[in-house]
Amino acid sequence: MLKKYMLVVFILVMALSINMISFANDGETTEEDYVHIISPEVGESGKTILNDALFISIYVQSNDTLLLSMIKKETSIFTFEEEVEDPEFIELIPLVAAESIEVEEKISLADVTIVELTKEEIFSAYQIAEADLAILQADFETAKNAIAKIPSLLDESATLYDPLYKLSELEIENLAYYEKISNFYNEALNEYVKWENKYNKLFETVVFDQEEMIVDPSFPYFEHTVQDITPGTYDLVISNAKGDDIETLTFEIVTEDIIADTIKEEVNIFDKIIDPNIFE
Amino acid sequence: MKEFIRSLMLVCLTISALIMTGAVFMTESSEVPELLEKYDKKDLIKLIRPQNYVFSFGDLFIKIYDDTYENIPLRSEYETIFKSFIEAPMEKKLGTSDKDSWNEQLKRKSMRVDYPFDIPLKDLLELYNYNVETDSEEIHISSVLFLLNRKDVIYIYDKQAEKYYSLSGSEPTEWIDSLYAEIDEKKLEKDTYKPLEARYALLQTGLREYNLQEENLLLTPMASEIDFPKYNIVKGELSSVKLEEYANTVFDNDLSFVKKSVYSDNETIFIYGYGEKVFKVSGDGSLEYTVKVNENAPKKAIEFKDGLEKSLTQLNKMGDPSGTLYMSGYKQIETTNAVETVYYFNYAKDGIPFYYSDMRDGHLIEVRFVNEELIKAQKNVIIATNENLRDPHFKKNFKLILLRNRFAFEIGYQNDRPLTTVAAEDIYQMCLQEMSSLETKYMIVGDELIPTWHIVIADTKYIINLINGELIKDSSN
Repeated sequence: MLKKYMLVVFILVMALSINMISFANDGETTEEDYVHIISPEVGESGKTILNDALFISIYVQSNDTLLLSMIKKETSIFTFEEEVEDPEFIELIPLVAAESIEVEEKISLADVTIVELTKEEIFSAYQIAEADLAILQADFETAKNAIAKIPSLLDESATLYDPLYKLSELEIENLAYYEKISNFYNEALNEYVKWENKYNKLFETVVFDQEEMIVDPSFPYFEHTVQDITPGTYDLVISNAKGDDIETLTFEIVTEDIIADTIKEEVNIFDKIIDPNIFE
Repeated sequence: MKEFIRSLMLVCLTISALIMTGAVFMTESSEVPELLEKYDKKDLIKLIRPQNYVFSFGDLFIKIYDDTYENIPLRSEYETIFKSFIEAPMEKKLGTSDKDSWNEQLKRKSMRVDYPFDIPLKDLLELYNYNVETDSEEIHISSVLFLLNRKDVIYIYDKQAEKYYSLSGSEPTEWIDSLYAEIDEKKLEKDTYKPLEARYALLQTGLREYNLQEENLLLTPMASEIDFPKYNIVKGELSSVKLEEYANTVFDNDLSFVKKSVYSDNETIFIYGYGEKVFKVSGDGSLEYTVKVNENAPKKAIEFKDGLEKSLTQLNKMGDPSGTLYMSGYKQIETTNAVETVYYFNYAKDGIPFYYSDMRDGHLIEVRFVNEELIKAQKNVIIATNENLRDPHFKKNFKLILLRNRFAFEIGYQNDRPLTTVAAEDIYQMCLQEMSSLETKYMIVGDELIPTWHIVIADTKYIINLINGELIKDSSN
């Protein structure tokens, strides 16, 4: 009998020690991820001087695979070409009825299969999505205002709370309207974001894409040099393997002439470091 | 008859004496070469060569070792600018500065000129033929800084005293503008550098938990591939005739009391008198001249210019100094009875100095004075020719070359800082934080010139062979 107890105690001790080991390991492995873009150093101005090459240096402390991309953003000025005015194309993307709540028949852009869209098509879709969103945003604001007081009357923690309050028919209608319009609004917002991304991509050039940041764990600094860089606005994007953006640095590369003006302005800084007596 | 013969003999003797005396005078003029000429300041200033030139373009630096760069005569342009500033009409006034200000200025558009040793400012100006009247303390120039947008002042760093100065005057006629623009246009990727902190931001990343304050602004090479050729060298051999010639000039054309001994290892020693002066020629072509110290000489340090002139005279007696000879070091040590002054000289390949491990700090030539007397001149390895060897070799960047030697740095750091509280995984980054010097030198190894990096981390100096990326040796400073 004693042997059995001893065995049980022994097993318990072993089980506990295994737990302790695993806790110790957990403690070591829960090191926080830390990613820090060291270069380009852009400061508050978001600008850096144009050199022949752009040096990128990033401190990467992470157990996950991290990818680095760099995109150049052009000025988003779009001009229609003549064929854009083709009325058939415009019909492809119908407008959502402005004030109708009977919008079940609305054709979502997500349902339309579009292959190899041209720049003009993307631009039109973006404009329509933007207009849709603007209209629905107005409706959404109206609907929100119409039900603004209701939560205060029904919420137990609110100062205007009235346990005996009963919703009127109009308020019930308004609530139903708000629910529907908020769904449409969210859908329009998603559409807008989708087309906005596509629209913005029209003005982006990929400098390099999804480069894995492989570093030596003992010295976790990733270095990369982009040769023949040109002035402009760039996005440096760090993402994980799932495609989620971890960190984005937007910066502008400017010519020395622009920076030189700043330097001239700061010349007086030297007065602080020279012994004032020498000018007496 | 006897009287006649005696008279005839007397006449013959007189004539022969006259002929021989004439012969002596005639030949003496041709035997005494230019060696005994006095060197003027122009000859001496040629030896005062900057070690390197650093142009700052904000976040990027160009470090140049050579006196010319892509056909730009850097050294002569720098000297013109320096002299133009000195000659500008207004009287120069000296102010003091500090390290923080100096570091801030380094980030601005500027040209910095680093000297291989701390040269006394007064002596440098006198070599440029300026009369200097100053009551101020002795200032040495280790580096001089010219800002692109500030023409009425230059900044001076005195490494020996660890002090910073500003020298202000009026705007000179020549400034660094055009030189700066030329370098900007012609700069090459292989010469680009970045400060260590700007590159790794150690204080904000790997070492952030140690709350360190001082940024390491040491310039580190940015080239994607560190690529220097190595060279085969042929050491100059001294023929017996040449050897006698050197001995003759070293002993001022008087070998009357000189004893010559030749040893089996091809070493030849000339001893004057009872060893007052000794001239030794080793089998590898190295030359050494020593003079017995005069213990009764008054304690007085030799003037910088006089010592330089005497050094050049002595070196010339020991063979023609080549065109790349420059003064690479200078120090004075004061003892109870004497002041010892040492001048070091070296050669350069494409502006990159040679390094000879058998000599202090790797200089090839040393001239030593006790008080005002020259007591030693040593000249090592006479390189006659060199040949570029472009073997395929290890071509990596700064980060990878250093990582390859990571463990040696870590062990060295732990020896230098035995009480360190830095976590083991952070020691390598702390090594970088405490890296205080990185210079490229051509090391003489056997019959080859090997490109090397000389790195100082904490208290240890490391030499890395850039052909294979491996550590050659390390030594405590």
